[in-house]
Amino acid sequence: MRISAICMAAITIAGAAYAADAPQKLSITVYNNNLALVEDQRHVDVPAGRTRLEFKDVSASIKPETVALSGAGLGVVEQNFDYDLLTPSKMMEKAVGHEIEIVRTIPGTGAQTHEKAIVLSVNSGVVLKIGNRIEVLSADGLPTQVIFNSIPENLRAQPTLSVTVDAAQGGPHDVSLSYLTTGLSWRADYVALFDEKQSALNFQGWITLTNNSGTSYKDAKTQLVAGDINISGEYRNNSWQQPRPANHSAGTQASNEASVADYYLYTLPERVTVAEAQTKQVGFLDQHVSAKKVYEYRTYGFESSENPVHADVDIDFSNTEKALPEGVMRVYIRDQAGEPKFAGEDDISHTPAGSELSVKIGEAFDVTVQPTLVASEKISRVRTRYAMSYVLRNARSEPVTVELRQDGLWRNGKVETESLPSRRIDASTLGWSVPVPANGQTTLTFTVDSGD
Amino acid sequence: MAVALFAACASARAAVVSERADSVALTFYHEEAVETSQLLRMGPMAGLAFVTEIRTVDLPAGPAVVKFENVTSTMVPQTAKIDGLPAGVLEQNFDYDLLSPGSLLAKSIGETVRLVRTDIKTGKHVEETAVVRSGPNGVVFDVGGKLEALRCSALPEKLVFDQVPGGLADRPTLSVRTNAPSAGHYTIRLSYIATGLNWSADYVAHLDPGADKLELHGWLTLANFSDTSFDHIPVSAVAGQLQRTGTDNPIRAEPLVLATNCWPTQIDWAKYPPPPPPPAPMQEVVVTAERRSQDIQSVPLAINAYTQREIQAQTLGDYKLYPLPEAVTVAARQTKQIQFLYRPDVTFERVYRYSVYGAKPDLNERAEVVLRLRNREQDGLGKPLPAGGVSVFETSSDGSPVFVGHDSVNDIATDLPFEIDTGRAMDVPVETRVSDSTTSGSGRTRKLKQEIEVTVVNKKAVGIVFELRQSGFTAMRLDSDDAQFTLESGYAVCHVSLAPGDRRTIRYRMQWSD
Repeated sequence: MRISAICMAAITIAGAAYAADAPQKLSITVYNNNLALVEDQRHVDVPAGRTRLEFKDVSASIKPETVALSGAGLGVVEQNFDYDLLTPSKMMEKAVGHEIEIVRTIPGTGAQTHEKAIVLSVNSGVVLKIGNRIEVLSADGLPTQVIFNSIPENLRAQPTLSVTVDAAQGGPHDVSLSYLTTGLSWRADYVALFDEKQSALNFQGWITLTNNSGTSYKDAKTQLVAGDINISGEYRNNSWQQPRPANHSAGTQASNEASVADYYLYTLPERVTVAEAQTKQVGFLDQHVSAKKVYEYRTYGFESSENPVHADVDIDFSNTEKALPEGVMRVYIRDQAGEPKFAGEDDISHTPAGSELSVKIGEAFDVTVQPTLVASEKISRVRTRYAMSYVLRNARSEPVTVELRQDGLWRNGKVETESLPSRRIDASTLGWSVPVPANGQTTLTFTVDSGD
Repeated sequence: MAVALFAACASARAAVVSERADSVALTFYHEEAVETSQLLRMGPMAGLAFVTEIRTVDLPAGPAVVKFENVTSTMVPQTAKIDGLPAGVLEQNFDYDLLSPGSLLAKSIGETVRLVRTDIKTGKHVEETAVVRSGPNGVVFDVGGKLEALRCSALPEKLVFDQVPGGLADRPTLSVRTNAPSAGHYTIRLSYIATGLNWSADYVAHLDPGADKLELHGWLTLANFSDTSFDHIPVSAVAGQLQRTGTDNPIRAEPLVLATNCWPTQIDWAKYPPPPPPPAPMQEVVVTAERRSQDIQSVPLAINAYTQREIQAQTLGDYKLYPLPEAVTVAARQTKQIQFLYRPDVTFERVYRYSVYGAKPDLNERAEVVLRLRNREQDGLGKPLPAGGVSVFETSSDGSPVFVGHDSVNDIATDLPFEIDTGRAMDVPVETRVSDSTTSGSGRTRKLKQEIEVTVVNKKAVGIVFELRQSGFTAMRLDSDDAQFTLESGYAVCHVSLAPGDRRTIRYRMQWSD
């Protein structure tokens, strides 16, 4: 074990009159879909009249078209985002027509010769004019240093945002810079411990914030917005795969979180440093709810299966108190030794408080359903009569109830005969609650008219 | 000119390093049921394990950051959970800004570093102070107002840094921020999901010709595709299908690459590009470790010489948990096989089956050999059987086992029937032909009628049970004078017994509407 004390204290000089490179108060508002709003308040000292302020330490993934700068007594003349990056070859290209210095080192003696040269061209090789000679740089392969006197004005080590302001009076000003950036996003991760005997689900919610924007945000007031923000065009995230919505019925209860417009806003309790290439997790929720395990078998047509199919295991609960932002719920259950073990996970969509949720954790090893289409018979051009038989088997040492969902009815579809009473879940779906004894089986049979 | 002074942290924060776990326990899962050959083919992209580590940390009173070293290389950081810290976790971070030549330069832009050149005549080092003006896309530095590019002059030169910039680490690191009320020695539990750890089940069935009992061995194969070795730890495996979201992936930290970009120094004198290099000489094919392991991917030939062991499955919710009886070592990039099932007398029925799908044209084929079992105690089984591959061996006349076929099975709960399809029998030929085909009526009332004739011959020296299956039974009417058909698993099925040399023809008529 190593212990060392560290303290990070920074002294920054808000720069050479025109470089505003000391962020003073940062706040970031992060959305679910790879987008964040950065607000950066700082002091700048500007003379009266027009001044070009450079902001070098903004996000490397800034969306420059969203930049807004405001400050009392300052008018914005223009904003520029320059991304012509400084590299050795760019330096050479910009030196065409200009004078550089060539230092050659003579092998053997180590003596150095200094010469001035004019760069004539940089096209797959550098052509130089040295006095009256035309030469190609490094043609002889000898060590040749090239010395430039200055960096061309618009070449920068990193993309740079600059704002030209017009100040009514010289002196220190408070300015507020805001912009959107990609590379930051967040979602929720829920750690849920399910106790089947107690019918209890205890879960903690964690905000998981990921920063791949290329920049660190020091001591930032951090807020997270939950909700589906509409983002058009290239802003949009590639979410071709929609997560399966886990909630059954959306609640209408008001949540404790602050809401902004039509979204929920979570504010981290203290300022945090969101470092580049970091995943940060902060707990935001601790809930204890009652929950029950449900075996479910869902089918979308009238077909036989050659082999038994395992029933789904769902955990159904109601989140009474708080809204649940979109994320993943990982469910743990205790093994015989009392140790929690991973038991499966499911996506959760943005869920208001008071909603009924059903989280699928996996399939039951011991509870199976085997469907058989016993007969199908056309009763008109479009209507068909299906006779189904479902063998539900339970190898557990306690009785279970399987929620069987039969989808596939059309208009006017109806049950003609059935061995257990059904109920209509929706227009096209029938539901049966089938009790299956311990180490036993139940056969459900029914005949339906498919409707038209 | 304004001078701003601010502190990045309000108070001193102690950094505590937890170098390694005192003990680790692993629970293997499989995302989908696989057999060993698939498992090896899928490699590190599949499988997961739940890792539980017990660690001890010495915490000072007050704010502290605890860094966890030597966690599993394929940890999914957002699943990490730490229990046992006296004040809980204020925030949990996973940092993957890696120290590399590129990131060292990227973080040094504007910083003063030392430029060291070696005099090519004397070999002496000449040191100067330089300011880095551009980063990993090609380094430009400034020595007293003179600008040069690094490594473009063909002179031996390098930059020397005084320290590693903050925030860069040799590998991705998990850390937590906490605030203990009092200093102390705390035992904490770190648990997380790691990928690239997978398991599969394989069964080996041995049977004697003519016998109605087989010997069944079950093996667990544990595979570790991560870079972390687990030495002498408790291990268990979970059978059953877990729901996954596809979002649990370890973070692949990409180091920032330092480009050696200069102005053109390789001068292209030629107008045309040079001819392509001659093809490389033929190389001996090198068998990689993974390929080799696939080849020997031994279906373990169980040998009765040693003690047969069974692992009793425990219940974990609706899954089956197999705790290995003793601690094992699961090394990085290793597969390990452990026996979990041994059933010496399993009753089975051998059936020669032929399936007709729809109404087929004339075919000359052979019957499939199907072993039919039921997973119950009176049949010598009655244990949950995790999904996996089944290899069947039959004893030959000289007493040595001969591999006769391979099939895969789903998770089989107790009392369920199941089948092992071992392949087609050479000596049970089956001939099918449509002997009559007519239609009647038209439009909505059009009906189709077909008569099918299936002829089977038993060329074996023993009597067999032949099973004929016709699909699509439910939508049609089927009748036969030769055999009694019943509905089984969605097929119309009939059985006939054939003595050695017997030849039987089963004719049946089907009628259905469009």
